[in-house]
Amino acid sequence: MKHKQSASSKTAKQLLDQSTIEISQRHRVRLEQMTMQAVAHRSRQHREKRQSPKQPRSNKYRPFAFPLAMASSVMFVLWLWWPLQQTTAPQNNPAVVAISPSNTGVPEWVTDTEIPISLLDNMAFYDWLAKQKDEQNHG
Amino acid sequence: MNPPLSGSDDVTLTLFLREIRGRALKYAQIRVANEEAALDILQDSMMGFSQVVDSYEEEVWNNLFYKILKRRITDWLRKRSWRNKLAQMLTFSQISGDREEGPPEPEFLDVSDTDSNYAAQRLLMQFEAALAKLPVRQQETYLLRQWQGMSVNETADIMKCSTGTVKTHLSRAMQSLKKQLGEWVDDET
Repeated sequence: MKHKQSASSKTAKQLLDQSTIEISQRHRVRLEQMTMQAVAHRSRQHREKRQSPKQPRSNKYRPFAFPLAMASSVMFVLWLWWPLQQTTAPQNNPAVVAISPSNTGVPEWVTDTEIPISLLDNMAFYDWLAKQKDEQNHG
Repeated sequence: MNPPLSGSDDVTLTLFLREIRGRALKYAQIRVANEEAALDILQDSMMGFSQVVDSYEEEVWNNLFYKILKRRITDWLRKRSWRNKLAQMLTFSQISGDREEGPPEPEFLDVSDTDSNYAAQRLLMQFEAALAKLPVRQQETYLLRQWQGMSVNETADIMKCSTGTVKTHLSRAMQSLKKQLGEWVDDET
């Protein structure tokens, strides 16, 4: 494009630079205003930050957060599990069933503390007791 | 906590913004093809930049500023796209009248032009129109790498892509521009 070269000896970059100067001249006042506004904005922002320094985030309780959460979880699980355990244990444990008072089969006179020990030690008493039982059964 | 802001910090920021604003405005104007919108975007970018500038070293300010500017431009283009879609749906509404015009069609240069300034203006218009026809990524790469003279790494950082991608985009952009405008376009830096 030789005609373009003859029309202007300037390169594309030079033309853009020239255009930049022209546009800057045209909007000189507004450009200066916005520059000052930006600088003032920065100063104001900085001043505000200095007047009200940012409160450091409170991390006082942070070390306790995890243990506390763990303890809470464990307690919650226990709270759920314990009543369940209480209600199911007597039914499922045969040892407990065997020693429960209603099922031992021990006569009342054995646990009666008013009966003298000497009587219980005497074999004649048991013979008499056996006879009594036989009579009760046959009668 | 940030260190106290001294007066020299304000001066440094002011100087930086004064240095960068002209090219940034031109960059935005080419990208959005709307001078007023470019000014608004630049103002918004400056405010955004001033909010975060304290957290960065001065060496990276240029990249940071262009990252912010690029994001604002993308937001603006998306909004315009949605507005155009809405306008197409509401054909009879008032919004349709506000639809943005596309980039101007390149005008062919009249060989009989004698005034070199006028010719240069027309050449610039043709060039900008050709630039506006490029895909967005190629356009960005050309403007940052070729025009602004940023390094491949800086361009890749701003565009959030690899250096290889930057080279590919630039190569394609140069090919496309040369195809439209001839060897007048600068050679790849």
